[in-house]
Amino acid sequence: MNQAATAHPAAPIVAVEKLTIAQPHGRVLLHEADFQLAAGEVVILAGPSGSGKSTLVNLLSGAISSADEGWRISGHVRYAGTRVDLARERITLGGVVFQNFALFDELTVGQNLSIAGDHNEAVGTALVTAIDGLLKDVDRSAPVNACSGGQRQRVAIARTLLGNHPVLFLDEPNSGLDVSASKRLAALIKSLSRDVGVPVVIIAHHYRHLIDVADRVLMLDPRRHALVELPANARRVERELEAIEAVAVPFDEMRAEPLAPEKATATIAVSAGPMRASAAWRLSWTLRFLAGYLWELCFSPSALLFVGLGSVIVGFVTTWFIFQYLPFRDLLMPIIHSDALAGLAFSELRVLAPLTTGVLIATRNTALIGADIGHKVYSDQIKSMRNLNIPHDVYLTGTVLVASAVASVVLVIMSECLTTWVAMATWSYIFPDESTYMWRDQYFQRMWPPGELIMDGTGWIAAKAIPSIVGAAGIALYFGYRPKSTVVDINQSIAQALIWGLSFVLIWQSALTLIEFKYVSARLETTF
Amino acid sequence: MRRGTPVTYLFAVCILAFAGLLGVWGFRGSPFLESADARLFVRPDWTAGIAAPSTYPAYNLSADGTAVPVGRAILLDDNRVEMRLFPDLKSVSFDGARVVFLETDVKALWSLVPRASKDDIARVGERLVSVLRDRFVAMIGQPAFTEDYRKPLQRIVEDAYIQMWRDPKMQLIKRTVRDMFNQNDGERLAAALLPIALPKLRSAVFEMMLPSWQQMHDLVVDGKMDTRPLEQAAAEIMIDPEVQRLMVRHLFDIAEDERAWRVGALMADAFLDALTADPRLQPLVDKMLRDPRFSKELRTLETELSAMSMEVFSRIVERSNGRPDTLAVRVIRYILLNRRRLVALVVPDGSPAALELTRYEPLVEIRS
Repeated sequence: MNQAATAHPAAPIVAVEKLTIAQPHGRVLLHEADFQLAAGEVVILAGPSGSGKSTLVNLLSGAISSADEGWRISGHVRYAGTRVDLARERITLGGVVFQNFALFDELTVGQNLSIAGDHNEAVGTALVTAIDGLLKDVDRSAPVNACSGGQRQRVAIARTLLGNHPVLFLDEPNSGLDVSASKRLAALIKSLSRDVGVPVVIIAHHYRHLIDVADRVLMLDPRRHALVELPANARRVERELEAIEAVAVPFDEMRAEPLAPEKATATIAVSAGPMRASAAWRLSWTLRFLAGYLWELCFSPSALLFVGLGSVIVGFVTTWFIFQYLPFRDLLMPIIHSDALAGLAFSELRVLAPLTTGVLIATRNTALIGADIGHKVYSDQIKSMRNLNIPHDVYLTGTVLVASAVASVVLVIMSECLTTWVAMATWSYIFPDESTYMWRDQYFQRMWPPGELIMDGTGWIAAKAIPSIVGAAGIALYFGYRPKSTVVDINQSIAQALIWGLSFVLIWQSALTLIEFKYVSARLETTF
Repeated sequence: MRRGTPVTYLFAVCILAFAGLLGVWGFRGSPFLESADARLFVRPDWTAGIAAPSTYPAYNLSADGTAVPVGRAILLDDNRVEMRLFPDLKSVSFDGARVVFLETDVKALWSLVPRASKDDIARVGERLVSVLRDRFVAMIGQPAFTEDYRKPLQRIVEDAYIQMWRDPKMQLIKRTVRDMFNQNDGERLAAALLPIALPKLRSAVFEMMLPSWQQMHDLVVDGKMDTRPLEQAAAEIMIDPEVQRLMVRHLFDIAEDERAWRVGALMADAFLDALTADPRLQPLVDKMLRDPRFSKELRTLETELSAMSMEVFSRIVERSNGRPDTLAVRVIRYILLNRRRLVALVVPDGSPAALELTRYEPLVEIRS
């Protein structure tokens, strides 16, 4: 944490120089803007809707950079003797307390704090004391969903403070609060800023109840593409806003001037030191997330029963209909019985069991992954993870893919076991006087001859099941990670993940099965 | 990402354990049954060349000849064969039974045919001979045959026969045939035929010996003897139904001798080679088959042969329950595919099947 916390508010510790931001569609939000932030001061970032307040915070908190598609950014940030070129580096200058708090739902209050602490440098005792003060009435072992709105906000602030950033950004902190709650929040922010010595930047539309604790106001002026410093005076700010809105220029008319900076062509680096944007993964957290996804995607009873039901249907239906509805059954049965069983084994164990498992698990897991990741994106949890240097690509993407691979192996083995047994039981029901060992002998005569260590075609089964299920999970991750602004976007991403994930499973398995047939048919023929 | 509770964790473990148990049951057999009854046998020499390890189905032949799968034979190495019986079969045991290996050829197929079916096939064979004879006689009795075909055919067949005996392979055949007919089978046939033939021959000889001046004159002056009574008797013997039955049966007995098949095949091969090499044959046969004067006989022959071949096939494949036999079908398939496969049979001593399979040497058990 910034040890210059006790510096005088007037002494700037962070300086942003010649900052220019152009959105992907070409609109310039800021042009060569300069501003400084001093330790312990509270600044309100104001401006009309769409003027770029959130974009500025996203840029300085690492959520966007010039590496992201379409964004054109230039300028520098100075902090603690370090100068960062924003055109070429991603920084996490500020920790963000998001409007919806972006707490990690699956973790408790304590875990929300410790994951932030584990991925950032240790904080000083003053900050620890401040955090303890913030959370004195919060049960740290409770799930975050069990906390009240106010408690969740304080947990979010505490977690952001543990990120140990030079600046604290609060995004619409008083949204939805009544007047007295807003005033209590303002007092809390002021005391926090004073106690830990961190500059606090508040983005607020409803700044009236916060302005009393602010040291100054930065107004984003879309007319001049500039940040204008104003005194912390509500009437002055209102007048300025009215003036801006009175001469509002349509965005498409502003596009031509000023010019956006050139797109950086070099690889975007991540800053080191206090403004770092790199994320180091921790084994303990990797295992914790992996265990969670393994449970959810593979071992939970719903997954097991889902696949089990499919396997029972495959084993029963194929065996029952082959032997019960065979034309000229009495005549043909002695002739084809043995080969029918061998053929059933092939179709059930090498084609239908992996296909059914793939389809069922892809259906279930793409929906779950799409919903889970989509919700995390929608509720800013992904942004929050980036902001707190928590590597979501390892903890979410990586563990989801690994868990999906494990699920494909475990659930296909389970499906093979159940399909085999149900096929045997069904056959035994149809032929009650026959030996089940005879069934086994003839069912596995080509798939698993005596003396062979593993079943023939295990490689094909793995090649069909693992990539298809992992691929469907990857597709769900892709749609899950796409930007979402409404709940409808989450639903659409789930639907798209389902459609594309299932299509992928069907296409992959069908194509591979056709290749498999072509590859093995000649070899199987010789065994007849 | 949701977490489970101890109850859901336990439930998941139970589901997995249950699925695993069913998997073991499905893949490897009931955990509640003892392991299979397995015995080791000496591998027969004639299976040399078949790669080991390799496995083959084992069957038990029921009283009506129906084959029932009972286990698996495994060629472990060059010296040992392991036989495993399915553990849930109560009625089949190695004790009081012999184990034989069959190669899936025509001989094995014939051995699997029950005695009653073989008798039926013999009767069909008798009928076939009769039908062929009747049709043949009907055809060659027509003036058209005498006028246009007798002499050319006779020349072709005679030439082919002469050509056949010039084939070097026939020297081997001569020795083999001599050995076969020197054995008891020939004597048995003679013993069976004599009671039928002797009375006819005796009366013919007696008739030949009747005193007649003309006969005495012919014999003394011209050195001639009237052999017509003997020829007549020979013809009567040949058309006697009992003689035909015995001959057909004897042919089947010969057919069970492996040498007979080889000799027959070699002779037929050599004769057919010689016959088909004759450029006169094909145009002559084509002309005869298209000759409208024989069309009625040929149509009748075709219909009867078709019915008889169906009956023979049914007797070979079907068993007394009216259904095709699994093993017979399997053997036919391997014959048609020209694939060398083995099947093992567990045959209870004294069973009808054991009698049909006497020519196969039982495997010798290796006792530890």
